[in-house]
Amino acid sequence: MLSVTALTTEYRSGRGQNVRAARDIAFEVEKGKFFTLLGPSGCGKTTTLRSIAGLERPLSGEISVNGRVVFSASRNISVALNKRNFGMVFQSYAIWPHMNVFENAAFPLEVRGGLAPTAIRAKVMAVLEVMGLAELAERESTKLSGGQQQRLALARAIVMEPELLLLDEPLSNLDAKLRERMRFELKRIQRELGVTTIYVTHDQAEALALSHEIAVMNEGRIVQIGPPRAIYERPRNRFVAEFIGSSNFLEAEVLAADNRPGFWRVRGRFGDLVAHSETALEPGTGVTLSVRPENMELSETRFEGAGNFFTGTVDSKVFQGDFADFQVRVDGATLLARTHPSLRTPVGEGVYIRIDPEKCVVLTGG
Amino acid sequence: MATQEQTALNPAHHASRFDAKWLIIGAAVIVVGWLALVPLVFLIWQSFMTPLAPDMPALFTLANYRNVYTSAETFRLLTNSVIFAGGAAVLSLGLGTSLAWMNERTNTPFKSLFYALSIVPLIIPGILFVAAWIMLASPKIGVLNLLLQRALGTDYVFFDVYTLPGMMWVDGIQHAPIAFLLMSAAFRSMDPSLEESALMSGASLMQVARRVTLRLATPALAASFLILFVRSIESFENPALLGLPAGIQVFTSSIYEALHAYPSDVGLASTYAMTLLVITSGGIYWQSRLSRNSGRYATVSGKAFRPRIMDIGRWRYATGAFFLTYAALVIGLPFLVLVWSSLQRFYAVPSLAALKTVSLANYQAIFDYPSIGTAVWNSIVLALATATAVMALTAVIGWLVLRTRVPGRWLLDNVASLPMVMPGLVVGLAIMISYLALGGGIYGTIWILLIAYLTRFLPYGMRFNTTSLLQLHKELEESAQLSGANWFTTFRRIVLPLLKPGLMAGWLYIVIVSVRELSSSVLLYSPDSIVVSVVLWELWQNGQYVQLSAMGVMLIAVLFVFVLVAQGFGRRFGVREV
Repeated sequence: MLSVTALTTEYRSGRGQNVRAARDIAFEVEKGKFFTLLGPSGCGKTTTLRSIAGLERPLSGEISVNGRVVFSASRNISVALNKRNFGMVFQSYAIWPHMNVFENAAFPLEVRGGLAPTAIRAKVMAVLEVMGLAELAERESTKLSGGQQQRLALARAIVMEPELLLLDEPLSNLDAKLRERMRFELKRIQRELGVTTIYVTHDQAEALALSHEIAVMNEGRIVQIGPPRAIYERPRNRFVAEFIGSSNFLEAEVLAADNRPGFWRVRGRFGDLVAHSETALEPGTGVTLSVRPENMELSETRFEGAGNFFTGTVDSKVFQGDFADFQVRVDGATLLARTHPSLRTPVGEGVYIRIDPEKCVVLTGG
Repeated sequence: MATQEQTALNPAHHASRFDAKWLIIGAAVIVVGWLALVPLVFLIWQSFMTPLAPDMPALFTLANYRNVYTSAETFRLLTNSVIFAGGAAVLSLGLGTSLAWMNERTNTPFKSLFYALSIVPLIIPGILFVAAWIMLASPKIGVLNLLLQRALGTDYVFFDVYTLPGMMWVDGIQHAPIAFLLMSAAFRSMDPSLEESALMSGASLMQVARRVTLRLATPALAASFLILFVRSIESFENPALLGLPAGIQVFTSSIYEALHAYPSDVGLASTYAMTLLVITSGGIYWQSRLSRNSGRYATVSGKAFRPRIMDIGRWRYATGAFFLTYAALVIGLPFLVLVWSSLQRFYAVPSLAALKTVSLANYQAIFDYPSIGTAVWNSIVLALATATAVMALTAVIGWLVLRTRVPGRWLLDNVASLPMVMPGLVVGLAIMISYLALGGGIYGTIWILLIAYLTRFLPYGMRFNTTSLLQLHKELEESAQLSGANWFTTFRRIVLPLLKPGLMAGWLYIVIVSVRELSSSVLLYSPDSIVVSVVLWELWQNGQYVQLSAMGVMLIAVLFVFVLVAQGFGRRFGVREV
């Protein structure tokens, strides 16, 4: 549906140098899917979104929607942004303060022309109804709460039935509680309308909660694309593993293939382990393993059955309510483990550790 | 899908969409360029040329510069100008900064009057302020002198405005409100926690004011001084009314004299004007450098902080008295003396005896004044036309400068702000030269006044529009375009309505300064294109002080009502805060 190929953008920095913001970005989004560009600030995700919207002119590359090329550097095509028919919700919402709620939402239909006022009224009211803003239609837009402004911005973006819905960190200006509620709302609305959506955020939790597919970006490049679960459970490199959730990293040397396919025996500084890798490994090479803190099982009693086992000493611990974080020293290294709050091993005491080989991931890329 | 591509590629389609937008922008650029550059070019040209006469073409010459720069007279002019402007700027900066500090940082009483203080001097035309101070403090007829002499039984002259210190005094207190506004803004953008931590370190209030507040405000003080210096060196009414009778000449009064001598010496006037331009350009350039570099003082962030009010205890009676005295000097006394003299058949010191001769005859005389109808009509038309055209023009230019990436937009910004360095008298002179040389028959008509006003007030429009555009989030326009609106629709339905508060404020300001405008008009008017300020000037020249007072009182009253109505209107129908 949306296809972006070889997209590169450049901007002029304050010192007059040309800086590459997005480099060689390429991805495809299927119709009706929720696609997220995730990355830290300055990674090029907003630039990519603005290029799709037509707010920025890329240096090179091609963007097409439903087979219609909206931008192509090589063929010198650039459809004006007001002819692209994309809806967009800005980070600031960009609600026009001199118009009331209805006027804001009706604007896109009015400026397009071709619709009678009664038809506009019906369409706008239907959308406001979906957004739960119907009773506020005549209210001044400046008198709306943050959450209502956000829904109005969304209403305005979808009222014209856009081919593509672009969302630029729409939840970042809301307080934590409201943000969580709007996450559900946004997901429900997107799934109901089935509008293809491109979402930009630096918040990994939002990305994981909302998306069908996530592209993790760093320094202008896409470093990994995949469904939320794959991104979280099988990070390809250290950046992805660290940016999404937190991770323990262990250096190891490959020994040999394990008897199960996809599993390898490796030797780390505190003994031999079985780890999972998506690609084949060469025995004798060094690799980095990533283990999520919640996959580090701690116990005061010895574990039974299969898996990777160690022993360590509790270095410090933090009680967080619904879970407890333990820092455990194992042979001079400190590892983070997230456990059930019922574990109350005192600091300085020994503790048994188990890691499921499935959750012991070899970072294969970069 | 191929059709879609063709739409995008079709040059005709592209062109039609582009033309409409660029037509307006192009027209605005040409008009602004013409207004700002043509007079300057002709002024420079004239300063190197012999005067144009019907029987003789203009010839290249360096004589103008040679005559000016080898003359001791010029050195005296320069010294007088710099002393006058420097002294006036020091006085107004000192007064304005003290008042701003009292208003922003202390619990001085009568605070609601501070606002009036900043607005009222705006509506008192310069010529009336100076005339009022002559009636107050001239050695022969000054009310203050006569009252003191009568009370003390001497004939000692206490005050004399016809001296260099007298000129500085009048100019300084007249411009102090500008210093007040500039320094208030500086104090407001200063992080109060910097002062609070000094207080908590054990410093006294005065130590905080001296060692923290003032130090932090140093860049703003320097920049304000330069603005005030340029204002004073440009001022015309003060040197003309106070300096010329006493033989104290500065550049502006000398330009006027050179043009009104017989035969008039345009070459000499142009060369003086060029020298003045170099001084004012230097001042403005230095000031803009200072303001730009103030970024390294993290305190001046452009962010408004909640003002912190310090309790200064009994000192507040002293600051309150200081403030009331100032208000009396800048508003009370001048206005009262104008009202008093407007009611007298012949100018007389206020007394019980004189109270019996009070009459409204002078007001009648103003209504009977031959050119008064033409002048009022011209002033109204010029003020409305100038304000509307300037605000519309600079809205487009400001948008172009701030919102597009058109190459050379910084140049356009500078061109539109260029007239800022040109004193009114120099604008008048340059436009006179330009349209005498270009012909076209507009010299001597009201059109040449309109051109002069547009040129003079272009920078004000730029300032109002760029300030409000900067506050306007760019995403408000982008979302309109993504909604399918083209440039016109976006500009008309989003940008202009959101700029409305700034547009209204700027419009109002330009209407008022247009009505007050004297220094350009006095060189360009003809009997048909006379304006209100020039009538005041004529009355003064004719020695009709009492009629001048009557007209002044009416003008101030009208402008005051206009400001009140316009502000009430703005509050009611203005756009809500963004």
